[in-house]
Amino acid sequence: MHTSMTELLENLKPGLLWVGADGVVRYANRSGSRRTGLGAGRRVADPELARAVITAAMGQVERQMTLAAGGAAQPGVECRVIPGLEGDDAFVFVGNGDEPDAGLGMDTLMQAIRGDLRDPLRAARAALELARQTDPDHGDELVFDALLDRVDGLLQVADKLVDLATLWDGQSLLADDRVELWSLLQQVWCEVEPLALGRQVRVRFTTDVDGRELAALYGSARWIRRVFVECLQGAVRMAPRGSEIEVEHLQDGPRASIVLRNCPLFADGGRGADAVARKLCRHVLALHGGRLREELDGRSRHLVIELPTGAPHRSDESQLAIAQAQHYARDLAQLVNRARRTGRAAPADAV
Amino acid sequence: MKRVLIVEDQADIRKLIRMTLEFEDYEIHEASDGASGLRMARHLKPDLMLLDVMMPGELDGLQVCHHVKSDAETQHIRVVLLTARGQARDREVGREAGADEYLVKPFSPLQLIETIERLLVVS
Repeated sequence: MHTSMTELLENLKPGLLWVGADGVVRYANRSGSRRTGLGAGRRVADPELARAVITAAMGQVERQMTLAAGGAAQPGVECRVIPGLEGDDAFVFVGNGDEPDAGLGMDTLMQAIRGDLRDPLRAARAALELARQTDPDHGDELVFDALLDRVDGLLQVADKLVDLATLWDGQSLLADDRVELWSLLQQVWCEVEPLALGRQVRVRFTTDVDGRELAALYGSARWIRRVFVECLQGAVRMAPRGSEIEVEHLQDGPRASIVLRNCPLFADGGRGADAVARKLCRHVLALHGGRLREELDGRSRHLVIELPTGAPHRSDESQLAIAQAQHYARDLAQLVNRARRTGRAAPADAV
Repeated sequence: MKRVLIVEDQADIRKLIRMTLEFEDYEIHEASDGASGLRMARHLKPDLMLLDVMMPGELDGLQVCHHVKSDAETQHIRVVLLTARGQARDREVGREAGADEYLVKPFSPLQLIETIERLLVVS
């Protein structure tokens, strides 16, 4: 299996088994192995799961089931069995029912693997067949150029899918970097500028206030940067040669908007790498309390990246308050003694 | 009586700071976000501000600190930044914003009082 795919599947929180119609496990990620005791090369012993795999592989029918646990005291494991990639295989997602977003994530992943990786791969294979049949003196170069383009496209999709899978892991977004959006935009522009120069596309950045006065945001600098890169690169690639893109940074109370004017990027949901990039951007922004949206202004279509500024609410905030209270309780006796020494009474609610 | 302004979005931590300061003779004021903290600083001109760094909204603690320290009317105000971020780079950014002190949460209330006393004596 390609290393990108292995990384992608290992990063998924729910367990995953890739099983052939013969019941032999072709691949199991860590979580899948742990929850079912099955690994690559082993045969599925549970008759109901084996039947579900055959039904999914041969009949292309999805099935939800509960896998009986080893011990009577343990509850069964929820499984979802869906058709695989080749018609003689199935994917078993193990125990994703307890993670509300995971099921949705799986569907997105499978859709992306089928539509954005498998189908183009088949097209590439067909092109290769054609290349074999073509007279070596005629048109080989063109066919191989086309093949290289396709392979590059697939690699881009695979890279973005790996990132998307990393996001589902959730932990990577717990960062609370202080992100100055205006400054980050300029950094990203340095990265995208060569592409824009190559395509003779100009990009104009505007803001209605001094960039240093714009609100900062606390979150993952790495992932927000990634959103900016995807949007700016996509906008530049999509813009007509010689045109200009206007990127406006607006501050509206506790929300910041980055508006890419006259940018139809992601307008139809996109295909291939664009579709995965759109999902990636939407996911990163949603996890920061923001969103990616389109704005129609007459015949113009703008892409808007919206983000709340300042610190997000975090579930660990109460932990911090508890830790602070513990420090207060620890110092309380000394605070009271100190107050006595200086002749002051301790506050009424201090004890 | 010295005037202290607490700017902190978490009500529980704000209350704990107030309870700590009530052991001393301070006139205590509170704000729950950066924008209202800056308004109160300009209006009340406290002797010292306890300023949380990460707050929701338009202004975080670093920006409030920068505004306070770059305005002739308020630059005398002593600023103590309070934050859960204790890396050297975070401290450096705090110093660049003009902060006089930097305390990492959770901090010792005794350390807080001693820091305030020291800063107010100097001023």
